[in-house]
Amino acid sequence: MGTALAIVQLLNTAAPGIASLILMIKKTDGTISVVALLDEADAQFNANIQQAKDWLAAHPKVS
Amino acid sequence: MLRRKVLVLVLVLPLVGCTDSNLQKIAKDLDITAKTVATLQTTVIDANSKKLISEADTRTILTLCIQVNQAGQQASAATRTINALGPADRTQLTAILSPVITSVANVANQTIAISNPQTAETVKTLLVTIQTTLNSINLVVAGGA
Repeated sequence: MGTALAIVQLLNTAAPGIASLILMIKKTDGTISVVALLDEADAQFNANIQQAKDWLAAHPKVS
Repeated sequence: MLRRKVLVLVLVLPLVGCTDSNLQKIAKDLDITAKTVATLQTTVIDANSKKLISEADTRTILTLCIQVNQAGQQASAATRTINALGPADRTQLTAILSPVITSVANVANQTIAISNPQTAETVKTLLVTIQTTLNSINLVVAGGA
């Protein structure tokens, strides 16, 4: 238990907070990069939709 | 306080190792799809501004792109919540992807009147790339990759 506490203290010194620790793992450990890839994809999908909608709004269909 | 942090670590670290390779492949292909659609949209909008492609054809492709982007968002949301592909997840992802794969194939097979041959080739290649990447995801979902 003493060793575990020492590790946590060490990690928290290097990266304060559990959230920061998880983000570190996300960037360096391939097993969790699913989340990082999906975050990146989602941001791009959102930007794409906005770009397409902006163009369609600026160029209304003439019937 | 320290005990709580230890407990969180003990609970989180095993979960980190639970994502399977299928999800990695799906996430990677969704990211590629998003970037390829971005390139397609920019190419088409740029071609339209130079009068190399008609308003109608630009509208057709951008409407398709919105459909692909929305399916991508849905597939991403479905993938984000799981640690391994189960039968229900496979059914859900197939239902999301199959219609949009058909739509991309239909537009790719249409003759889009782009007067500049290089732009026409680029658009066609990007459409085929998107179709291939979505098919690749579907193959993983079906258990074939």
